[in-house]
Amino acid sequence: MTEDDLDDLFAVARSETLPAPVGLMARVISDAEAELLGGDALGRAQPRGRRQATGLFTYLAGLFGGTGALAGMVTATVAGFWLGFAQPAPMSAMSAALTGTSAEIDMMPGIDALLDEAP
Amino acid sequence: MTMPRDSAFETSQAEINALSDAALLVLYARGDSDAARVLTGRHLGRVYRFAARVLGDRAEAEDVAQDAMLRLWRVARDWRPGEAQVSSWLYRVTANLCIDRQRARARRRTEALDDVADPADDRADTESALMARQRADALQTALASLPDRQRQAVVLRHIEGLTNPEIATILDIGVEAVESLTARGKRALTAALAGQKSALGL
Repeated sequence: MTEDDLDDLFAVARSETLPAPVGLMARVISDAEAELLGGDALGRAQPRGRRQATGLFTYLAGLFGGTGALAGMVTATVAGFWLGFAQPAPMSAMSAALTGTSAEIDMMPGIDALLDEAP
Repeated sequence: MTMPRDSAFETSQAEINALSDAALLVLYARGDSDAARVLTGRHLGRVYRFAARVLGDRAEAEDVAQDAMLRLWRVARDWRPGEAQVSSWLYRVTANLCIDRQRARARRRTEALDDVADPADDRADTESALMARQRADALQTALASLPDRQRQAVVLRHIEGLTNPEIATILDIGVEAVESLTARGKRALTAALAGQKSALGL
């Protein structure tokens, strides 16, 4: 088996088009639509290529558009904003935030204004 | 939240098709699902095909492809144009998802791609078609014996036809590392296929 033989095999593989199944296309588009409707407006941790980053900071960062978007902000300011806002709430708000339950969402102000594109 | 469609931004199909991937992502993030349709048409085939060759399993490839595209939908709002190509980004996500999947499950014998019935396949059973089928299967089986990164590099280089710099971006390694991977991969394939030369009509 020489390199030329291998090249012949590669050529056969290249000619195999392996089209994506129609069902797969439909599921992918339906996912896209679902993301628009349901979506991550309140920012769960942004998926990464390798591993899902977890943790309180990533959750908080997700509220402001991801850790990338936060790169220019002073971390303490963010933490202070959240902690200051959460102060009046009972401890259950903290644990709710850590477990990411939907009850926590009610405690936060509407942040759609922060996430909207400029009109 | 879904933005209401502003008539000033309504675009015809031809106009949408002419947009760059980055522009389509911006449109999509603003609520335009047609932009997602075009992006899917442009990229899903490649993502699925790559996953199928790396995993050697069509059903798993469908899952990985769907997962990769879902990550694209989720990153759309944060996408910064000029930092990466959507195609490279998708290849990289797919490559990593494949590695995750292969590490998570116990090593099992990889099925040849043709073990999964392809209902659309109506090629005539001519001798040349059968030989082509055998060659493709032999290559796929040999690919399965390679280490993950060698297999991905070889598929990207010799089947997907990407350049070494492109592959370096996707695999997040240097160009020399890509060359090393593909060279080792080809040597390993040659070894794995040794003795099948006449059976494959080569």
